[in-house]
Amino acid sequence: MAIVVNLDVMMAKRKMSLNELSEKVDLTLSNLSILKTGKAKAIRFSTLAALCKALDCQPGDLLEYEPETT
Amino acid sequence: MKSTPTSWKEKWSQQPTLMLITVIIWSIFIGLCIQAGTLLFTFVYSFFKPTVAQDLYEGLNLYPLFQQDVWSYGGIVTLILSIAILKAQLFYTMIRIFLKIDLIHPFSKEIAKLISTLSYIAFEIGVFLAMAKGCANWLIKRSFELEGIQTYLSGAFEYFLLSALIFAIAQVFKRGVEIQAENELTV
Repeated sequence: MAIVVNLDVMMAKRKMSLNELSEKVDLTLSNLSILKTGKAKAIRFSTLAALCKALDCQPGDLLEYEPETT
Repeated sequence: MKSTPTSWKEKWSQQPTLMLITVIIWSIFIGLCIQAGTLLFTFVYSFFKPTVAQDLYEGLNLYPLFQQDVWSYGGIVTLILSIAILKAQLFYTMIRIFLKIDLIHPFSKEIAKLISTLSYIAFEIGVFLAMAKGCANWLIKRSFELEGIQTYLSGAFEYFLLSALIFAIAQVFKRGVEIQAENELTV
């Protein structure tokens, strides 16, 4: 996938665990895990907004574009 | 999100219509198995006691054909038996679909594959019915006696139509599987 989710980086910066983040954004642990491991196919704006609010960051801090090497 | 019902009791309470249809399909399947089993038994037995061919199943009398040409008799009954077995297989596949299907997460690769299988079986039944009808008409033209056989050999066109419809549904279902997978991975 060309879009990389740097959720673990931001969580480490904010010293937040997965359980804590899950409670703050009202997302299940399995969904957060899907996001963290890069298996997500899409993300809703509402989810992105909730994550940015919880981690006090911008969408660009969480999402990064890496061109796929073929 | 609702969890997938695992036990029969849970399925009956949450999806009663589905379970009722499953029971009806089971009944039809058992009837078709009895039909195929009876036909097979009487067919094999007729070679030891030819008078059995007078009533193979529900009044099907092929005794005159048996007396005129045993090979033609064997061929026609084999086709009728194959059709009966395929119809039972069709309903068995439907049972498998209805037992696996779950209205909470309806789209799965396994069910998509079973629906495709259903369309292929329906097509096979249509082919066998058309073949059997062609053979029967050819035998009748050659003055062989085939009393009351037309009721067993009608419906080839309907099965072809059913096959085409189920095939279209299978394609839509496969797309549904893709959309569901994408939706489940949307956070």
